[in-house]
Amino acid sequence: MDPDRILALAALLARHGDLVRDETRGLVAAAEAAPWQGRAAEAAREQARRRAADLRRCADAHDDAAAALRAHAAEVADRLDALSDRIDPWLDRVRGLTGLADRWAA
Amino acid sequence: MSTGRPHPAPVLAVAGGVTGVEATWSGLHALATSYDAAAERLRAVAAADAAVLLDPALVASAPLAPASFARAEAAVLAVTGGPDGLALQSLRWEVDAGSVRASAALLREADEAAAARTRALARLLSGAAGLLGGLYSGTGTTTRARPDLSTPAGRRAPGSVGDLVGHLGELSALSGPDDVDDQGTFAVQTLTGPDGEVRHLLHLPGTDDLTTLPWTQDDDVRDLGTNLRLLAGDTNGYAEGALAALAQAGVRPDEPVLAVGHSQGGMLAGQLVATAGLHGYAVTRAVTLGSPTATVEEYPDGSVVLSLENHGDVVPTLDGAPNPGSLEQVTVTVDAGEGGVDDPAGAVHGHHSFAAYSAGAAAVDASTDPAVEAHVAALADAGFLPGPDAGVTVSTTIYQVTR
Repeated sequence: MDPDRILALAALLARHGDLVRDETRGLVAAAEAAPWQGRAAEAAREQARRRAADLRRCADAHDDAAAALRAHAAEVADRLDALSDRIDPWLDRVRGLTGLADRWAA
Repeated sequence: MSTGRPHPAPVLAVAGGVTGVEATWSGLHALATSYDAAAERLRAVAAADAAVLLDPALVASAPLAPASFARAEAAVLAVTGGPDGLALQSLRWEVDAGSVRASAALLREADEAAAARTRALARLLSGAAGLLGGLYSGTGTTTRARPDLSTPAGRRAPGSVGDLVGHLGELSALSGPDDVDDQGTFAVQTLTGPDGEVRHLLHLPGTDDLTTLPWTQDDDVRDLGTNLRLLAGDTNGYAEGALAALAQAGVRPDEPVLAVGHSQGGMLAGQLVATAGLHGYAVTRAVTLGSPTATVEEYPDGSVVLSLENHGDVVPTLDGAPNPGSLEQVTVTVDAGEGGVDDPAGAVHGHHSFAAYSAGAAAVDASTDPAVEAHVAALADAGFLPGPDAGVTVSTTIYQVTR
């Protein structure tokens, strides 16, 4: 349960979103630059534009997933802090009792 | 104010080069390959996305914060699976790559079917030309320098296609019908750049004697027999002379050569580019004017052949087929009429004249067609059109080939 590890996963997904955007730009540029004229060419370019729109949505979804993971990491960190607040005094008491027992045994 | 330059002729058609069918076919294959490669990369990203959900730290965190985990899990699942997921999207691009390849195949099939019909006729004519050409003497020529001959353009570095045509026109005038002792003359021009780089231009005028019969063949090399042998792709005296001149001029195998030819000279220019791997000189570029070159089956990859044909000029049609629309060869058809030539011999001479092709060259120099621009740029980038102000040293030797 390492919030930093979950934050690293969020950063990975954000980078993947950027990668998908880069690929989208490259694909659209390649489709537009292809030396191809006529109805089939226009249909193929239109298809590429539709696919590119889908990919852009997918890149945005990566951003959303990264944000959701960051929120989860924050939630996990909060829960760990709350647990720590409750457990630490109890641990201190246990350590104190252990020390007393050691001294009594000596 | 007149600039002394010919008025550009209207361009009727451009075939081949970066906008030709061959280029389209190559471009579509490149597009399909880029789709496939991108799909592969997207699939790798999708796999890495899916691995996020299996990360031990994330899995272990679920019981601690189940609500935020469920939201994160749903968000990550949305980018990997589902209808808009990356895995499915990568598959769609692969399907599109297949469609593009199918379109390219259809395009090529249609083009090849059309080409097959015209080239069958060209082969028939080429075969007939070979049979007839065999009646004439082919090689066995003598080539010698003619230091007594020169032209003004031979002292200037060309800066345009128009300059190339102008130079060839001056050279061609040396071997007119009345200059019987100077028939078979052509030139090797050497450009030495300020950086010491050397380039050569082989200027090849056209036919001197079109009326030669096998039994009246004299010492003229540029005769009907050579036309027929060139049409058939056979060895011939003009090619022998041109290669001998390159050797005499000290041209090294690695030094780039541009061949510029009119009529029969253009046929030879095309043949020298097509056979560069055989004769050993780096003749990788050619400009042809009014030349039948469709019988050249294939130019080596990366070579540049710019062919000008004047509408109404019958000479470039003697091969019986239009030039193949390849990446290497761009054919520009212009409507230069008779070039303003008032020739009692008729319109044939006018349409085939240097005046007409000068107007065609002016059209090429002014053209904004991408295929034409790319081919002219390829000549300029290779250093063949530096112009008079580039500090290039120019030397030209005129040679004569006789039988």
